Amino acid sequence: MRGFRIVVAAHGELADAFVSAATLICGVLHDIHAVGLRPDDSPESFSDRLAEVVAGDEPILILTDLVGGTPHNVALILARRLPAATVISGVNLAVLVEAATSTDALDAATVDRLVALGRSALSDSSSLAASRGP
Amino acid sequence: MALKLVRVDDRLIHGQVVAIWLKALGANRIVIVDDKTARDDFLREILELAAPPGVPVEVHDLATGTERVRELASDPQPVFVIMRSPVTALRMREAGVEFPLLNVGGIGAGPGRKPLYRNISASPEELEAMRQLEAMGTRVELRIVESDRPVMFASVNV
Repeated sequence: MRGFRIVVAAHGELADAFVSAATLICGVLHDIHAVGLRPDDSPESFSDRLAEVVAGDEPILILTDLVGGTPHNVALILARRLPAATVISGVNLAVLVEAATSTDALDAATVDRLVALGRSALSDSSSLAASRGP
Repeated sequence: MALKLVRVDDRLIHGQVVAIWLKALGANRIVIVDDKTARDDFLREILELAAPPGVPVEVHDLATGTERVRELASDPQPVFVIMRSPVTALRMREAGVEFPLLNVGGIGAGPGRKPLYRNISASPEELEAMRQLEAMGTRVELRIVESDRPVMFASVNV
């Protein structure tokens, strides 16, 4: 049982697609939400939708796609008013799956671990394969 | 001319700016001229975090920003200037800061605002500012990302 909620905030359909892909891997997931930035969104309209989902006092992990993008900037602004919210940016599927299946508390150690895992999930796989030979 | 681009975008720094424009322009410094952001330490911090590592973000109010942009215009480092409204651009132009082109990339819709082109709307005051900029010799283009064909403000019927 996970001890925190998860929200993926990303550009376009990516947020929904991340959740759908994580569900494909993990099976049914609870307390995972997607909020996508639409082409006609203003930062304010996006912020309103995200605020609705992240409201509350429970621990919540907000995963955003691109550092500096509107989902990231808005998430940081909202998280300021949410003592139990944490924002990680540059989400990839490995991070989302790990977070979704985590049973740890959302503390600094968990966040460090997720970020390290996300970094190591990005790999130059062709070079690795080549270095191992045929 | 080290002002690579002067842009109006009410989101200031966001995905299109970070992922597309910075790279296309080869700019290595962002200067934001916005009174509201300059007064708000937290918003300023968010914008500093929003830029890629190695690209410093300066946030100035109109008065300080005008002087800073004037200074940077004659400095060789490539700079990207962003503001929320064409009215800010007009004030800077009136203060004698010269830039041949104003890129308008995003101004949200809202009450009293007229849709101009795609995601760009403008209030009567902003329309007037763009007209005056054109009259002062600054061309105004409507272009969201670098690969879009620029649409000149002068060619849009409003």
